[in-house]
Amino acid sequence: MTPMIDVVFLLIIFFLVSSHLAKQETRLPVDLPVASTALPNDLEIAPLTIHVDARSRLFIATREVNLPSLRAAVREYKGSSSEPSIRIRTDRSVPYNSIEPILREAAQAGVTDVRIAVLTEESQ
Amino acid sequence: MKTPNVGRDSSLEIAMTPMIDVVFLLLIFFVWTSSFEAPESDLPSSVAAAEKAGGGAESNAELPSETFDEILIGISVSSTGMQISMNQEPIVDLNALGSRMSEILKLGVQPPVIIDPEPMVLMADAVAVFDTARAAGADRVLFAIEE
Repeated sequence: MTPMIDVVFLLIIFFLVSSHLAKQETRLPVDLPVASTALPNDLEIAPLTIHVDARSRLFIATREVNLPSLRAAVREYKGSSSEPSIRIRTDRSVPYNSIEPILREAAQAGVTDVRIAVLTEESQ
Repeated sequence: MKTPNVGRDSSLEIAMTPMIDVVFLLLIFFVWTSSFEAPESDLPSSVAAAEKAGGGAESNAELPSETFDEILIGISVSSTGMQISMNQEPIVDLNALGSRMSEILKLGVQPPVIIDPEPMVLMADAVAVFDTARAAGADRVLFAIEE
């Protein structure tokens, strides 16, 4: 019995760790802006996360996208989700003209819930 | 008659090796699953599209007249940093903006606040202004886009 439990326990740990790493893969390391009135992450919704790095490149998951493919991705996401929401993880040094196209695509696709990922002051 | 097996040492010995195994596994588990990243939060936002000239006239007519239709906060960049303006009127800094906003909201109105940063304004500044407006108590804070 004991060796079997050992093995099962190791397998559980392995799957937990690998799923954890898979989740982190979609988190590009960016310097988020800071805000004090942010709300905690809503785990009920499954937002489409769009990353913007310090060089104003756009990423969905780990894939770099340009504006036309971003538009297609947003439209596809809007069609597949009952409660569409877009979450923008942007570097704080990015100028607004790199974010405006994302907001425009969201508005044109009919996604009204747009969130900006921020750090809270106490988590700094 | 049964005798209590006090004398049998083997049952009283604490088996160290399995305990160390388990403790070690637990240690690995917690080290791997703990995250050293700062927790992130969401700033709820929305988008206000610039209306084409004359487009909003008939929809405005149906609404009850409000003291403030909307508050438009412009952000521009200059050599000295960011310049904030509220309905075309320059504002010194974020604190001044916050107190002006709370004065307006104290009147009991809840106008939409539209933030219109110039193209080269950094997101850090745009989010700081956004945050100030929310901290002053504004419910609807929107980012302006040009269609």
